[in-house]
Amino acid sequence: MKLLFMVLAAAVCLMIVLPASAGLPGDASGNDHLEKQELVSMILSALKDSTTLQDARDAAYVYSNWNGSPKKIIDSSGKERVIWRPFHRIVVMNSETLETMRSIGYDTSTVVGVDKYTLKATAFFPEFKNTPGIGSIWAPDYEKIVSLQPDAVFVYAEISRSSCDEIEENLAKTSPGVTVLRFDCYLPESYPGEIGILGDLLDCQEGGREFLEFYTSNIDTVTSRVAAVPENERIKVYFETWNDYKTCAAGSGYDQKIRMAGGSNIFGNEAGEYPELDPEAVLASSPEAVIKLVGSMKYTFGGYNGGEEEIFRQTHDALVSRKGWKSLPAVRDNRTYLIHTDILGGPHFFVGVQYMARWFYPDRFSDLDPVCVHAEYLTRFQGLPASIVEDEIFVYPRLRR
Amino acid sequence: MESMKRGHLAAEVACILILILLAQASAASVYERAIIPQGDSTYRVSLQFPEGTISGITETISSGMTCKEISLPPEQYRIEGTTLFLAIIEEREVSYLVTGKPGMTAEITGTYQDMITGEKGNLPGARISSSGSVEIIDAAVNNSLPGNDARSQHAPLEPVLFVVALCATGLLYSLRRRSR
Repeated sequence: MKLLFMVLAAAVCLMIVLPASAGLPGDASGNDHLEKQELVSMILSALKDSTTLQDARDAAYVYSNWNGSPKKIIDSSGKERVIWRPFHRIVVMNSETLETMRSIGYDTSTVVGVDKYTLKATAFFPEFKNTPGIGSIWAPDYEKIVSLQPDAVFVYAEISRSSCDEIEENLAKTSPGVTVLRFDCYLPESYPGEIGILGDLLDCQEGGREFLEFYTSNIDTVTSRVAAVPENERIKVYFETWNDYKTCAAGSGYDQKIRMAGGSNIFGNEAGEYPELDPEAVLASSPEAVIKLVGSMKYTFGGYNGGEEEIFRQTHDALVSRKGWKSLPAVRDNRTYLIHTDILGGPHFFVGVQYMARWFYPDRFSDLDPVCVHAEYLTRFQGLPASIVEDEIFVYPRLRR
Repeated sequence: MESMKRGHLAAEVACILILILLAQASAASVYERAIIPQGDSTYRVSLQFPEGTISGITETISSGMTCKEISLPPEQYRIEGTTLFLAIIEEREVSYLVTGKPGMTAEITGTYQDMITGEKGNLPGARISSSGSVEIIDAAVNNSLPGNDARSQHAPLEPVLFVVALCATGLLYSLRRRSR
Protein backbone atom coordinates (compact mmCIF):
# COMPACT_ATOMS: atom_id res chain seq x y z
CA MET A 1 0.00 0.00 0.00
CA LYS A 2 2.79 2.32 1.00
CA LEU A 3 4.66 1.45 -2.19
CA LEU A 4 1.56 2.11 -4.30
CA PHE A 5 1.13 5.48 -2.62
CA MET A 6 4.76 6.36 -3.29
CA VAL A 7 4.51 5.37 -6.94
CA LEU A 8 1.33 7.44 -7.33
CA ALA A 9 2.92 10.40 -5.58
CA ALA A 10 5.94 10.05 -7.82
CA ALA A 11 3.64 9.92 -10.84
CA VAL A 12 1.99 13.18 -9.87
CA CYS A 13 5.37 14.81 -9.29
CA LEU A 14 6.66 13.52 -12.60
CA MET A 15 3.71 14.97 -14.46
CA ILE A 16 4.30 18.32 -12.80
CA VAL A 17 8.07 18.45 -13.04
CA LEU A 18 9.01 16.67 -16.21
CA PRO A 19 8.11 17.97 -19.63
CA ALA A 20 7.13 15.39 -22.19
CA SER A 21 10.19 15.56 -24.40
CA ALA A 22 9.17 13.16 -27.17
CA GLY A 23 9.70 14.79 -30.52
CA LEU A 24 12.65 16.66 -31.93
CA PRO A 25 13.24 20.16 -30.58
CA GLY A 26 12.13 22.69 -33.15
CA ASP A 27 10.45 20.15 -35.41
CA ALA A 28 7.52 22.42 -36.22
CA SER A 29 6.37 20.27 -39.13
CA GLY A 30 6.23 17.22 -36.89
CA ASN A 31 7.81 14.98 -39.52
CA ASP A 32 10.51 13.72 -37.12
CA HIS A 33 13.20 15.43 -39.12
CA LEU A 34 14.73 18.78 -38.35
CA GLU A 35 15.03 20.88 -41.48
CA LYS A 36 17.48 23.76 -41.79
CA GLN A 37 14.66 26.29 -41.82
CA GLU A 38 13.29 24.90 -38.57
CA LEU A 39 16.68 25.29 -36.94
CA VAL A 40 16.94 28.84 -38.28
CA SER A 41 13.60 29.72 -36.67
CA MET A 42 14.78 28.28 -33.37
CA ILE A 43 18.00 30.29 -33.45
CA LEU A 44 16.34 33.56 -34.40
CA SER A 45 13.79 33.08 -31.62
CA ALA A 46 16.50 32.28 -29.08
CA LEU A 47 18.33 35.51 -29.91
CA LYS A 48 15.34 37.46 -28.66
CA ASP A 49 13.98 35.10 -26.04
CA SER A 50 16.60 33.40 -23.92
CA THR A 51 14.05 30.98 -22.45
CA THR A 52 14.12 29.13 -25.76
CA LEU A 53 17.92 28.99 -25.90
CA GLN A 54 18.24 25.42 -24.57
CA ASP A 55 15.77 24.13 -27.14
CA ALA A 56 17.68 25.94 -29.88
CA ARG A 57 20.94 24.45 -28.67
CA ASP A 58 19.45 20.97 -28.60
CA ALA A 59 18.12 21.51 -32.11
CA ALA A 60 21.56 22.64 -33.27
CA TYR A 61 23.08 19.51 -31.71
CA VAL A 62 20.57 17.23 -33.44
CA TYR A 63 21.09 19.01 -36.75
CA SER A 64 24.86 18.97 -36.49
CA ASN A 65 25.48 15.54 -34.95
CA TRP A 66 22.48 13.43 -35.91
CA ASN A 67 21.77 14.84 -39.38
CA GLY A 68 18.52 16.27 -38.08
CA SER A 69 16.98 12.90 -37.21
CA PRO A 70 16.28 11.26 -33.87
CA LYS A 71 18.84 8.72 -32.75
CA LYS A 72 17.60 5.16 -32.75
CA ILE A 73 19.36 2.36 -30.97
CA ILE A 74 18.52 -1.14 -29.83
CA ASP A 75 19.62 -1.64 -26.25
CA SER A 76 20.48 -4.93 -24.54
CA SER A 77 16.85 -5.61 -23.71
CA GLY A 78 16.22 -5.86 -27.46
CA LYS A 79 13.97 -2.80 -27.53
CA GLU A 80 14.40 0.04 -29.93
CA ARG A 81 14.90 3.33 -28.11
CA VAL A 82 14.39 6.66 -29.77
CA ILE A 83 16.42 9.61 -28.50
CA TRP A 84 15.02 12.97 -29.46
CA ARG A 85 17.59 15.30 -28.00
CA PRO A 86 21.01 15.08 -26.28
CA PHE A 87 20.99 14.06 -22.64
CA HIS A 88 21.58 16.76 -20.07
CA ARG A 89 20.62 14.86 -16.92
CA ILE A 90 20.94 11.12 -16.56
CA VAL A 91 20.45 8.69 -13.72
CA VAL A 92 22.61 5.56 -13.79
CA MET A 93 21.31 2.72 -11.65
CA ASN A 94 23.98 0.20 -12.66
CA SER A 95 27.60 0.96 -11.91
CA GLU A 96 28.80 -1.32 -14.72
CA THR A 97 27.27 0.99 -17.30
CA LEU A 98 28.69 4.00 -15.48
CA GLU A 99 32.15 2.42 -15.61
CA THR A 100 31.74 1.76 -19.33
CA MET A 101 30.64 5.35 -19.91
CA ARG A 102 33.94 6.42 -18.37
CA SER A 103 35.79 3.88 -20.53
CA ILE A 104 34.46 5.37 -23.75
CA GLY A 105 35.22 8.93 -22.69
CA TYR A 106 31.68 10.13 -21.99
CA ASP A 107 31.45 13.38 -20.05
CA THR A 108 29.87 12.05 -16.87
CA SER A 109 29.09 15.53 -15.57
CA THR A 110 25.57 14.90 -16.90
CA VAL A 111 25.12 12.11 -14.33
CA VAL A 112 22.80 13.55 -11.69
CA GLY A 113 21.94 10.38 -9.80
CA VAL A 114 23.64 7.05 -9.07
CA ASP A 115 22.80 3.88 -7.19
CA LYS A 116 23.90 3.18 -3.65
CA TYR A 117 26.63 0.76 -4.75
CA THR A 118 28.31 3.43 -6.82
CA LEU A 119 28.19 5.76 -3.81
CA LYS A 120 29.87 3.09 -1.68
CA ALA A 121 32.65 2.56 -4.22
CA THR A 122 34.38 5.79 -3.27
CA ALA A 123 37.83 4.63 -4.37
CA PHE A 124 36.69 3.61 -7.84
CA PHE A 125 34.09 6.31 -8.39
CA PRO A 126 35.50 9.25 -6.41
CA GLU A 127 33.84 11.81 -8.67
CA PHE A 128 30.37 10.62 -7.67
CA LYS A 129 30.80 10.69 -3.91
CA ASN A 130 28.53 13.74 -3.63
CA THR A 131 26.08 12.72 -6.37
CA PRO A 132 22.55 12.12 -5.10
CA GLY A 133 21.74 8.46 -4.46
CA ILE A 134 18.58 6.92 -5.90
CA GLY A 135 18.59 3.66 -3.95
CA SER A 136 19.13 0.56 -6.00
CA ILE A 137 17.35 -1.37 -8.71
CA TRP A 138 15.88 -3.56 -5.96
CA ALA A 139 14.70 -0.60 -3.88
CA PRO A 140 14.50 2.43 -6.15
CA ASP A 141 13.77 5.80 -4.60
CA TYR A 142 11.20 7.01 -7.16
CA GLU A 143 10.68 10.28 -5.38
CA LYS A 144 14.36 11.04 -5.64
CA ILE A 145 14.54 9.99 -9.28
CA VAL A 146 11.66 12.33 -10.06
CA SER A 147 13.21 15.22 -8.21
CA LEU A 148 16.39 14.87 -10.28
CA GLN A 149 14.41 15.49 -13.48
CA PRO A 150 16.39 13.06 -15.65
CA ASP A 151 16.20 12.79 -19.42
CA ALA A 152 17.26 9.15 -19.21
CA VAL A 153 17.55 6.39 -16.64
CA PHE A 154 19.97 3.49 -17.15
CA VAL A 155 19.14 0.10 -15.63
CA TYR A 156 20.17 -3.51 -16.25
CA ALA A 157 18.89 -5.59 -19.14
CA GLU A 158 19.34 -9.14 -17.89
CA ILE A 159 20.44 -8.94 -14.26
CA SER A 160 17.41 -8.70 -11.97
CA ARG A 161 15.23 -8.44 -15.01
CA SER A 162 11.96 -8.29 -13.06
CA SER A 163 13.10 -5.36 -10.90
CA CYS A 164 14.31 -3.47 -13.93
CA ASP A 165 11.12 -4.27 -15.85
CA GLU A 166 9.18 -2.79 -12.97
CA ILE A 167 11.27 0.38 -12.96
CA GLU A 168 10.80 0.73 -16.70
CA GLU A 169 7.05 0.18 -16.46
CA ASN A 170 6.65 2.67 -13.62
CA LEU A 171 8.63 5.35 -15.41
CA ALA A 172 6.81 4.72 -18.68
CA LYS A 173 3.45 5.16 -16.96
CA THR A 174 4.35 8.20 -14.95
CA SER A 175 6.72 10.01 -17.25
CA PRO A 176 6.88 9.11 -20.91
CA GLY A 177 9.47 11.87 -21.31
CA VAL A 178 12.11 9.83 -19.47
CA THR A 179 13.98 7.39 -21.69
CA VAL A 180 14.82 4.11 -19.98
CA LEU A 181 17.91 2.43 -21.37
CA ARG A 182 19.04 -1.06 -20.47
CA PHE A 183 22.57 -2.38 -20.52
CA ASP A 184 24.39 -5.04 -18.50
CA CYS A 185 28.05 -4.35 -19.26
CA TYR A 186 29.37 -7.41 -17.47
CA LEU A 187 28.61 -10.36 -19.75
CA PRO A 188 31.46 -11.36 -22.09
CA GLU A 189 29.08 -12.36 -24.88
CA SER A 190 27.28 -9.02 -25.02
CA TYR A 191 29.88 -6.55 -23.72
CA PRO A 192 31.67 -5.76 -27.02
CA GLY A 193 28.33 -4.96 -28.64
CA GLU A 194 27.29 -2.84 -25.69
CA ILE A 195 30.48 -0.78 -25.91
CA GLY A 196 29.62 0.04 -29.53
CA ILE A 197 25.98 0.86 -28.80
CA LEU A 198 26.84 3.04 -25.81
CA GLY A 199 29.46 4.84 -27.94
CA ASP A 200 26.82 5.53 -30.56
CA LEU A 201 24.13 6.46 -28.06
CA LEU A 202 26.34 8.92 -26.19
CA ASP A 203 28.15 10.23 -29.26
CA CYS A 204 31.44 8.80 -28.06
CA GLN A 205 32.06 6.72 -31.17
CA GLU A 206 35.80 7.35 -31.24
CA GLY A 207 36.24 6.64 -27.53
CA GLY A 208 34.12 3.54 -27.94
CA ARG A 209 36.29 2.28 -30.78
CA GLU A 210 39.49 2.94 -28.82
CA PHE A 211 38.23 1.11 -25.76
CA LEU A 212 36.82 -1.76 -27.78
CA GLU A 213 40.21 -2.22 -29.44
CA PHE A 214 41.92 -2.34 -26.04
CA TYR A 215 39.34 -4.74 -24.66
CA THR A 216 39.33 -7.01 -27.69
CA SER A 217 43.11 -7.25 -27.91
CA ASN A 218 43.31 -8.26 -24.25
CA ILE A 219 40.59 -10.87 -24.60
CA ASP A 220 42.01 -12.18 -27.88
CA THR A 221 45.42 -12.66 -26.29
CA VAL A 222 43.80 -15.20 -24.00
CA THR A 223 41.22 -16.85 -26.24
CA SER A 224 43.55 -17.33 -29.22
CA ARG A 225 46.01 -19.33 -27.11
CA VAL A 226 43.31 -21.19 -25.21
CA ALA A 227 41.87 -22.33 -28.55
CA ALA A 228 44.98 -24.48 -28.99
CA VAL A 229 44.19 -26.48 -25.83
CA PRO A 230 42.01 -29.52 -26.68
CA GLU A 231 38.72 -29.62 -24.78
CA ASN A 232 39.63 -32.86 -23.01
CA GLU A 233 42.92 -31.39 -21.78
CA ARG A 234 41.44 -28.31 -20.21
CA ILE A 235 41.98 -27.79 -16.53
CA LYS A 236 39.08 -28.85 -14.29
CA VAL A 237 37.97 -25.81 -12.28
CA TYR A 238 35.79 -25.50 -9.22
CA PHE A 239 34.54 -21.92 -8.97
CA GLU A 240 32.95 -20.75 -5.75
CA THR A 241 31.10 -17.48 -5.26
CA TRP A 242 31.20 -15.52 -2.00
CA ASN A 243 28.58 -17.92 -0.71
CA ASP A 244 30.38 -21.07 0.32
CA TYR A 245 29.61 -24.07 -1.90
CA LYS A 246 27.63 -21.93 -4.30
CA THR A 247 29.08 -22.20 -7.78
CA CYS A 248 28.26 -20.93 -11.25
CA ALA A 249 26.83 -22.81 -14.20
CA ALA A 250 26.01 -22.25 -17.85
CA GLY A 251 24.24 -18.96 -18.48
CA SER A 252 26.12 -17.07 -15.81
CA GLY A 253 28.81 -14.53 -16.60
CA TYR A 254 31.35 -16.35 -14.41
CA ASP A 255 30.91 -19.58 -16.37
CA GLN A 256 31.63 -17.69 -19.58
CA LYS A 257 34.73 -16.14 -18.03
CA ILE A 258 36.10 -19.47 -16.79
CA ARG A 259 35.68 -20.94 -20.26
CA MET A 260 37.30 -17.88 -21.84
CA ALA A 261 40.35 -18.46 -19.65
CA GLY A 262 40.50 -22.08 -20.79
CA GLY A 263 38.97 -23.68 -17.73
CA SER A 264 36.52 -26.53 -17.74
CA ASN A 265 33.82 -25.57 -15.27
CA ILE A 266 33.18 -28.78 -13.34
CA PHE A 267 29.64 -27.79 -12.38
CA GLY A 268 28.86 -25.92 -15.60
CA ASN A 269 25.99 -28.27 -16.46
CA GLU A 270 24.15 -27.96 -13.14
CA ALA A 271 20.64 -26.54 -13.20
CA GLY A 272 20.35 -22.79 -12.58
CA GLU A 273 22.97 -20.13 -13.01
CA TYR A 274 24.26 -20.27 -9.43
CA PRO A 275 23.58 -23.76 -8.03
CA GLU A 276 24.30 -24.70 -4.44
CA LEU A 277 26.39 -27.80 -4.01
CA ASP A 278 26.80 -30.59 -1.53
CA PRO A 279 30.36 -30.35 -0.11
CA GLU A 280 30.76 -34.03 -0.91
CA ALA A 281 30.11 -33.28 -4.59
CA VAL A 282 33.03 -30.85 -4.60
CA LEU A 283 35.31 -33.47 -3.03
CA ALA A 284 34.17 -36.05 -5.53
CA SER A 285 34.81 -33.74 -8.47
CA SER A 286 38.57 -33.58 -7.82
CA PRO A 287 39.15 -30.05 -9.14
CA GLU A 288 42.58 -29.22 -10.49
CA ALA A 289 42.11 -25.54 -9.73
CA VAL A 290 39.86 -23.71 -7.28
CA ILE A 291 38.78 -20.11 -7.73
CA LYS A 292 37.08 -18.44 -4.78
CA LEU A 293 35.34 -15.14 -5.39
CA VAL A 294 35.63 -12.46 -2.69
CA GLY A 295 34.38 -8.92 -2.35
CA SER A 296 30.88 -9.34 -0.93
CA MET A 297 28.86 -10.87 1.93
CA LYS A 298 31.18 -12.30 4.59
CA TYR A 299 34.09 -11.86 2.20
CA THR A 300 33.76 -8.09 1.89
CA PHE A 301 37.37 -6.99 1.81
CA GLY A 302 40.04 -6.11 -0.70
CA GLY A 303 39.64 -4.66 -4.15
CA TYR A 304 39.41 -0.93 -4.69
CA ASN A 305 38.09 -0.22 -1.23
CA GLY A 306 41.19 -1.78 0.33
CA GLY A 307 41.96 -4.51 2.80
CA GLU A 308 44.88 -6.13 4.56
CA GLU A 309 46.71 -9.04 2.98
CA GLU A 310 46.30 -10.90 6.28
CA ILE A 311 42.54 -11.24 5.69
CA PHE A 312 43.23 -12.75 2.29
CA ARG A 313 45.76 -15.15 3.82
CA GLN A 314 43.31 -16.25 6.54
CA THR A 315 40.54 -16.74 3.99
CA HIS A 316 42.82 -18.75 1.77
CA ASP A 317 44.02 -20.87 4.71
CA ALA A 318 40.42 -21.54 5.75
CA LEU A 319 39.57 -22.56 2.19
CA VAL A 320 42.33 -25.13 1.82
CA SER A 321 41.74 -26.42 5.36
CA ARG A 322 38.16 -27.43 4.67
CA LYS A 323 37.36 -30.96 5.63
CA GLY A 324 38.76 -33.39 3.09
CA TRP A 325 40.26 -30.73 0.86
CA LYS A 326 43.89 -31.72 1.51
CA SER A 327 43.52 -34.55 -0.93
CA LEU A 328 42.11 -32.39 -3.74
CA PRO A 329 44.56 -32.04 -6.66
CA ALA A 330 44.07 -28.26 -6.60
CA VAL A 331 45.10 -28.03 -2.93
CA ARG A 332 47.90 -30.55 -3.28
CA ASP A 333 49.36 -28.59 -6.20
CA ASN A 334 48.83 -25.14 -4.62
CA ARG A 335 46.35 -24.11 -7.28
CA THR A 336 43.74 -22.45 -5.08
CA TYR A 337 43.17 -18.78 -5.64
CA LEU A 338 41.10 -15.88 -4.36
CA ILE A 339 39.92 -13.30 -6.87
CA HIS A 340 38.07 -10.09 -6.14
CA THR A 341 34.77 -9.36 -7.85
CA ASP A 342 36.10 -5.91 -8.79
CA ILE A 343 38.17 -7.51 -11.55
CA LEU A 344 35.90 -10.40 -12.47
CA GLY A 345 32.31 -9.36 -11.93
CA GLY A 346 32.03 -6.04 -13.72
CA PRO A 347 33.18 -4.52 -16.99
CA HIS A 348 36.85 -5.14 -16.38
CA PHE A 349 36.39 -8.88 -16.08
CA PHE A 350 39.01 -9.18 -18.82
CA VAL A 351 41.62 -8.47 -16.13
CA GLY A 352 40.28 -11.35 -14.05
CA VAL A 353 40.19 -13.60 -17.12
CA GLN A 354 43.88 -12.86 -17.69
CA TYR A 355 44.71 -13.78 -14.09
CA MET A 356 42.81 -17.05 -14.44
CA ALA A 357 44.52 -17.84 -17.75
CA ARG A 358 47.90 -17.40 -16.08
CA TRP A 359 46.86 -19.61 -13.18
CA PHE A 360 45.40 -22.28 -15.45
CA TYR A 361 48.23 -22.40 -17.99
CA PRO A 362 51.34 -20.82 -16.50
CA ASP A 363 53.58 -22.01 -19.33
CA ARG A 364 51.36 -20.76 -22.15
CA PHE A 365 50.75 -17.42 -20.45
CA SER A 366 54.08 -16.75 -18.76
CA ASP A 367 54.38 -13.48 -20.70
CA LEU A 368 50.89 -12.29 -19.76
CA ASP A 369 50.94 -9.43 -17.27
CA PRO A 370 47.43 -8.80 -15.90
CA VAL A 371 48.81 -6.35 -13.36
CA CYS A 372 50.08 -4.19 -16.19
CA VAL A 373 46.82 -4.52 -18.16
CA HIS A 374 44.87 -3.56 -15.05
CA ALA A 375 47.05 -0.49 -14.52
CA GLU A 376 46.65 0.56 -18.16
CA TYR A 377 42.88 0.19 -17.91
CA LEU A 378 42.78 2.42 -14.85
CA THR A 379 45.02 5.14 -16.20
CA ARG A 380 43.91 5.17 -19.86
CA PHE A 381 40.21 4.58 -19.47
CA GLN A 382 39.16 5.25 -15.90
CA GLY A 383 41.20 8.32 -14.98
CA LEU A 384 42.53 6.58 -11.89
CA PRO A 385 46.14 6.21 -10.74
CA ALA A 386 48.04 3.03 -11.62
CA SER A 387 49.32 2.85 -8.05
CA ILE A 388 45.96 1.38 -6.97
CA VAL A 389 46.96 -1.89 -8.62
CA GLU A 390 50.06 -2.20 -6.46
CA ASP A 391 48.56 -0.71 -3.31
CA GLU A 392 45.40 -2.81 -3.16
CA ILE A 393 44.86 -6.56 -3.34
CA PHE A 394 42.74 -8.08 -6.09
CA VAL A 395 44.01 -11.65 -6.10
CA TYR A 396 45.61 -14.01 -3.61
CA PRO A 397 48.26 -15.29 -3.71
CA ARG A 398 49.53 -12.14 -5.40
CA LEU A 399 51.06 -12.71 -8.78
CA ARG A 400 54.84 -13.07 -8.88
CA ARG A 401 56.04 -10.83 -11.75
CA MET B 1 76.23 34.89 -11.19
CA GLU B 2 73.74 37.37 -9.72
CA SER B 3 72.95 38.75 -13.15
CA MET B 4 72.35 35.21 -14.45
CA LYS B 5 69.78 34.60 -11.72
CA ARG B 6 68.12 37.91 -12.51
CA GLY B 7 68.07 36.85 -16.14
CA HIS B 8 66.34 33.59 -15.25
CA LEU B 9 63.76 35.42 -13.20
CA ALA B 10 63.10 37.84 -16.03
CA ALA B 11 62.69 34.94 -18.42
CA GLU B 12 60.23 33.25 -16.06
CA VAL B 13 58.21 36.46 -15.71
CA ALA B 14 58.24 36.87 -19.50
CA CYS B 15 57.00 33.30 -19.95
CA ILE B 16 54.15 33.87 -17.51
CA LEU B 17 53.17 37.10 -19.25
CA ILE B 18 53.21 35.31 -22.61
CA LEU B 19 50.95 32.64 -21.12
CA ILE B 20 48.55 35.34 -19.93
CA LEU B 21 48.53 36.90 -23.40
CA LEU B 22 47.89 33.51 -24.99
CA ALA B 23 45.05 32.87 -22.58
CA GLN B 24 43.58 36.27 -23.39
CA ALA B 25 43.93 35.62 -27.10
CA SER B 26 42.17 32.29 -26.76
CA ALA B 27 39.36 34.04 -24.92
CA ALA B 28 38.82 36.43 -27.81
CA SER B 29 36.16 35.82 -30.43
CA VAL B 30 36.97 33.16 -33.01
CA TYR B 31 34.82 35.04 -35.51
CA GLU B 32 36.33 37.78 -37.65
CA ARG B 33 35.01 40.98 -39.11
CA ALA B 34 36.08 42.93 -42.16
CA ILE B 35 34.71 46.18 -43.62
CA ILE B 36 35.38 47.35 -47.14
CA PRO B 37 34.34 50.87 -48.23
CA GLN B 38 32.17 50.80 -51.36
CA GLY B 39 31.93 54.58 -51.92
CA ASP B 40 28.95 56.88 -51.32
CA SER B 41 29.09 56.26 -47.54
CA THR B 42 28.43 52.60 -48.18
CA TYR B 43 30.46 49.78 -46.66
CA ARG B 44 30.40 46.03 -47.07
CA VAL B 45 30.55 44.38 -43.68
CA SER B 46 31.58 40.75 -43.63
CA LEU B 47 31.82 38.21 -40.84
CA GLN B 48 33.86 35.04 -41.13
CA PHE B 49 33.14 31.86 -39.23
CA PRO B 50 35.03 28.62 -38.65
CA GLU B 51 33.84 25.46 -40.40
CA GLY B 52 30.70 23.91 -38.96
CA THR B 53 29.58 27.00 -37.06
CA ILE B 54 25.97 27.04 -35.90
CA SER B 55 25.46 30.34 -34.21
CA GLY B 56 23.12 33.23 -33.61
CA ILE B 57 24.46 36.70 -34.39
CA THR B 58 23.07 40.04 -33.28
CA GLU B 59 24.54 43.04 -35.10
CA THR B 60 23.82 46.60 -34.05
CA ILE B 61 24.57 49.55 -36.30
CA SER B 62 24.44 53.22 -35.40
CA SER B 63 21.17 54.99 -35.85
CA GLY B 64 20.98 56.77 -39.17
CA MET B 65 22.49 53.80 -40.95
CA THR B 66 20.61 51.23 -42.96
CA CYS B 67 21.59 47.74 -43.95
CA LYS B 68 20.69 45.75 -47.04
CA GLU B 69 21.92 43.02 -49.40
CA ILE B 70 22.41 40.46 -46.70
CA SER B 71 24.10 37.42 -48.21
CA LEU B 72 21.77 34.96 -46.50
CA PRO B 73 18.39 33.65 -47.64
CA PRO B 74 15.67 36.04 -46.41
CA GLU B 75 14.34 33.52 -43.88
CA GLN B 76 17.76 33.34 -42.23
CA TYR B 77 17.81 36.92 -40.91
CA ARG B 78 15.61 39.59 -39.41
CA ILE B 79 16.07 43.35 -39.38
CA GLU B 80 14.50 45.33 -36.58
CA GLY B 81 15.47 49.00 -36.73
CA THR B 82 19.22 49.15 -36.37
CA THR B 83 19.50 45.56 -35.17
CA LEU B 84 20.18 42.66 -37.48
CA PHE B 85 19.60 39.08 -36.33
CA LEU B 86 21.39 36.34 -38.25
CA ALA B 87 21.18 32.57 -38.02
CA ILE B 88 24.44 31.01 -39.14
CA ILE B 89 24.11 27.38 -40.19
CA GLU B 90 27.52 26.25 -41.32
CA GLU B 91 28.13 29.30 -43.52
CA ARG B 92 31.77 30.38 -43.60
CA GLU B 93 31.04 34.03 -44.42
CA VAL B 94 28.12 36.41 -44.26
CA SER B 95 28.14 39.95 -45.60
CA TYR B 96 25.81 42.91 -45.86
CA LEU B 97 25.92 46.52 -46.94
CA VAL B 98 25.53 49.45 -44.55
CA THR B 99 24.89 52.95 -45.76
CA GLY B 100 25.09 56.13 -43.73
CA LYS B 101 24.99 59.84 -44.37
CA PRO B 102 28.10 61.47 -45.79
CA GLY B 103 30.49 62.62 -43.05
CA MET B 104 28.80 60.74 -40.23
CA THR B 105 30.65 58.67 -37.67
CA ALA B 106 29.28 55.25 -36.92
CA GLU B 107 29.83 52.13 -34.89
CA ILE B 108 28.98 48.53 -35.60
CA THR B 109 28.91 46.08 -32.73
CA GLY B 110 27.87 42.48 -32.56
CA THR B 111 27.39 39.55 -30.25
CA TYR B 112 27.33 35.83 -30.90
CA GLN B 113 25.74 32.83 -29.26
CA ASP B 114 27.38 29.60 -30.36
CA MET B 115 24.63 27.00 -30.40
CA ILE B 116 26.98 24.03 -30.27
CA THR B 117 29.44 25.04 -27.57
CA GLY B 118 27.10 27.36 -25.71
CA GLU B 119 29.75 30.05 -25.71
CA LYS B 120 28.62 33.63 -26.09
CA GLY B 121 30.47 36.88 -26.38
CA ASN B 122 31.24 39.91 -28.45
CA LEU B 123 32.24 40.02 -32.07
CA PRO B 124 34.99 42.36 -33.18
CA GLY B 125 33.42 45.79 -33.57
CA ALA B 126 34.05 48.58 -36.05
CA ARG B 127 34.24 52.36 -36.05
CA ILE B 128 33.73 54.46 -39.13
CA SER B 129 35.14 57.97 -38.83
CA SER B 130 33.71 61.09 -40.43
CA SER B 131 36.52 60.91 -42.99
CA GLY B 132 35.33 57.46 -43.96
CA SER B 133 38.25 55.52 -42.50
CA VAL B 134 37.44 52.20 -40.83
CA GLU B 135 38.87 50.80 -37.61
CA ILE B 136 38.26 47.23 -36.46
CA ILE B 137 38.06 46.90 -32.68
CA ASP B 138 38.92 43.56 -31.22
CA ALA B 139 36.27 41.65 -29.31
CA ALA B 140 37.87 42.14 -25.87
CA VAL B 141 37.98 45.94 -26.27
CA ASN B 142 34.54 45.84 -27.79
CA ASN B 143 33.20 44.70 -24.43
CA SER B 144 33.50 48.27 -23.18
CA LEU B 145 31.63 49.85 -26.06
CA PRO B 146 28.55 51.73 -24.85
CA GLY B 147 25.31 49.94 -25.30
CA ASN B 148 26.93 46.52 -25.49
CA ASP B 149 26.03 44.50 -22.46
CA ALA B 150 27.16 41.08 -23.67
CA ARG B 151 30.09 39.49 -21.90
CA SER B 152 32.28 36.74 -23.14
CA GLN B 153 32.06 33.61 -21.00
CA HIS B 154 35.82 33.73 -20.70
CA ALA B 155 35.94 37.27 -19.45
CA PRO B 156 35.73 36.52 -15.71
CA LEU B 157 38.71 34.19 -16.05
CA GLU B 158 41.11 36.84 -17.28
CA PRO B 159 41.60 38.78 -14.01
CA VAL B 160 41.89 35.46 -12.19
CA LEU B 161 44.64 34.37 -14.57
CA PHE B 162 46.40 37.65 -14.01
CA VAL B 163 46.24 37.31 -10.22
CA VAL B 164 47.42 33.67 -10.44
CA ALA B 165 50.32 34.74 -12.62
CA LEU B 166 51.27 37.51 -10.20
CA CYS B 167 51.13 35.10 -7.26
CA ALA B 168 53.22 32.55 -9.17
CA THR B 169 55.79 35.20 -9.97
CA GLY B 170 55.93 36.28 -6.33
CA LEU B 171 56.25 32.68 -5.18
CA LEU B 172 59.05 31.98 -7.63
CA TYR B 173 60.85 35.11 -6.54
CA SER B 174 60.58 34.28 -2.83
CA LEU B 175 61.68 30.67 -3.44
CA ARG B 176 64.74 31.89 -5.28
CA ARG B 177 65.60 34.30 -2.50
CA ARG B 178 65.24 31.55 0.07
CA SER B 179 67.41 29.16 -1.92
CA ARG B 180 70.30 31.63 -1.99
